[in-house]
Amino acid sequence: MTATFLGLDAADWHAVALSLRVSVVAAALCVALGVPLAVWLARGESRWRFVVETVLTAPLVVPPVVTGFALLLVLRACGSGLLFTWWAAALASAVVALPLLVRTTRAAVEQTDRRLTLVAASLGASRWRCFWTITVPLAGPGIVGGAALAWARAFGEFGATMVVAGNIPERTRTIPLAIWTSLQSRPLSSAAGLVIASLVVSVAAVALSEWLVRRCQHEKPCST
Amino acid sequence: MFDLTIHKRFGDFQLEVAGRSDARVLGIVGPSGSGKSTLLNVVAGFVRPDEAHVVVADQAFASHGGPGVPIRRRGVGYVCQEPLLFPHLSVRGNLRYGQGAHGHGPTFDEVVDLLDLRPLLTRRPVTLSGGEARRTAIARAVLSAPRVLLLDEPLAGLDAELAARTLALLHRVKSAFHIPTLYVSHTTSDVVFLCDEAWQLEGGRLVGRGAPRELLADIRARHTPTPSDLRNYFLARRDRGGADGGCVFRVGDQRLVLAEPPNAPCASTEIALLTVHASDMILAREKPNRLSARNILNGRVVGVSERDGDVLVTVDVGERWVVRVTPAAVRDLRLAPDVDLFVIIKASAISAVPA
Repeated sequence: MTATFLGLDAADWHAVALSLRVSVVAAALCVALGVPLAVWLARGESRWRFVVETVLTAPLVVPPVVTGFALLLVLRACGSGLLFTWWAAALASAVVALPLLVRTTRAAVEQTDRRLTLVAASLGASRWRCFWTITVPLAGPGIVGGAALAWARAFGEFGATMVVAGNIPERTRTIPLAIWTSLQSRPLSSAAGLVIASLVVSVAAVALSEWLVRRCQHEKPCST
Repeated sequence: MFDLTIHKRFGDFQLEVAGRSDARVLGIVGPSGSGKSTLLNVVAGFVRPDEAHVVVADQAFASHGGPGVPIRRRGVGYVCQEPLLFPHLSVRGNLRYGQGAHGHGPTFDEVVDLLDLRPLLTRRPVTLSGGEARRTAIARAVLSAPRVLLLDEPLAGLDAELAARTLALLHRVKSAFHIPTLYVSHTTSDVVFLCDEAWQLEGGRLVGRGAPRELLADIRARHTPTPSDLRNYFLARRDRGGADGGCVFRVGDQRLVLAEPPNAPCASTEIALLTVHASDMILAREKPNRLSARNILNGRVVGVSERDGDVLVTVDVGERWVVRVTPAAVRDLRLAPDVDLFVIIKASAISAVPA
C-alpha cells in the first residue's frame, strides 16, 4: 500500500504536477503565438486571414483524437524526437487550446479603438511599439481571460495528448489520463481524489482569472 | 507649403483634389460628406489613396502610384474632434508618448505652460473635461515636433465658450511654433480667424480657393449659414487708459466695453479673443443718443449679400465683422458698399477668453 496525502498517492501527485507543468507551458505557447495572431486577424488586411482563421478554429470542432492524429503525422514527419514526451503533451494541449485564446483576444482587440493605434503611429511609434504600448494594454482583460480559458482547456486535455504523448506513468500521464487509467483497472472510487483535485485546481484558476479580468475592467485602464 | 493631388474612390463617392498653396495654415471647408476628412486622412497616411502626390513643407509623403511614406515617418500631428487620448496613460504619459518623434520641437515645459496643462499632468483621460482633453490632444501632437499639423474639426461639438477657448489655443500654437497646418472645418468663422488661405470642397471636388474672408463671404452668400458660421472672432488688446476703468478692449482705434466678469477675463489678460455673434449687432445710419447699449462704433460697409431673406453685411470697424440684418433694414438704411454707419453692441453680447 503506497503512502497517500490528501487521498492521492505518489503517482497521482506526479500526474497533478505534470498536468500543471504541461498546461502552463501550453498556455504560455498559446499566449506567445496567439496574441500576435489575434491582432493580425483583427487588424490585418490580408485575404489569407479567412484561411488562417479556419485552420485555427478546426481544433475546436474536430474530435481531439483527430487533432492529435494530425499532430502525430506532423511530428513524425519533422523527426523532432518530441513524440511521447511531456513536450508533445504540451504541444497537443496548446494546439487544442489556441483557438480559445485567439478568439477571445481577437474580440478584445476588435473592441479597442483602431484610431488609437493610428494616432500612436502618427506619433512615431513602430508597429511593435503600438502593439506593446497600446493594443496589449487596452486588450489586456481579454488577453487574460483568453489565457485563462486556454490554460483550463489545456489542463483538461485528453484525446490529442493520448495520441502524441501516450500514457506513460510518471512521464506523460497527466490527470485526465490518470483518471482514465484508474477507471480501466480499479474501482470507480479510486479516481475520486484526482477528479476532486482537477476540479479544485481548474475552478480556482478560472475564478482567479475572472477576478483579475474584473479588477482590470473596474480600474480601467489597468496599466500605469 | 502644400502640394496636394489626391484621387480616392469610396463606392459612389470620389475625391478629386489638386492644388498648391503657400499658406502656413490652410483651411479646408465644406459641408459634411464633401471629402474634407478623407483628404486629411490621406495626408496622414490613415487612408490609402488610389493615386496621390502629397508634398508638405518640401517633404513628399506620397507620389504617383507609390505606396507612400509609412505613417510613423510622415511627421504628422493629428487632432480630430474626438481627442483619441490613450486611456491607460496619464496626461503626462500621453504627452510624452511621441515627444520629439519627428525632430527637435518645442520643449515639454513650453507646450505644457502654453496650453495650461500643468495641473492636469497626473490625471487620467477619463477624468478630463471635453476642453481639457482637446487641449491635451493638441499638446501631444505639437510635442511630437510634426512637419504638419492636421486638425480635423477640432471645435466640433464644443459650446461657444469652449470653441473660443480652443480657437485661442490654436492661435497661440500657430504664433508660437509656426507649424504648417491643414485645418478642416465645416464652419466658416473659425477658418476666417485662423487660416491664411481656404479651399472649399463640395462633393469631393475643389470648387473654390482664396483668402478665407472673401471665399467664405461667397460661401455664406450661397449656403444658409449655421449659428456657428456667424460668430465674429477677433483679437483685441486690453485698454487700461479709460477713465471708467471697466473691462475695455481696443478694436482698431475704437474702444469696446465688455460686461464685467465672469463674462470677461479682464483681470488676467492683456490680449483676448473676443466673440460677437452677427445677430447680436445693430446697424444705424445716425448716431443714437441715450442708449443702454455700451458700444457704438464707427464703421463702413464692405459688402452686402442676401440669401433666402437673410442679409449678411460685412462692416469694417477696424476689424471686419459680419452683421445679420433683414432685407427691410437694408432698404431702409440704404446699405451698400462704402456707406458709413454705426455698429451698436451690448456689452454683454461680447464674450472674451484669454488669447
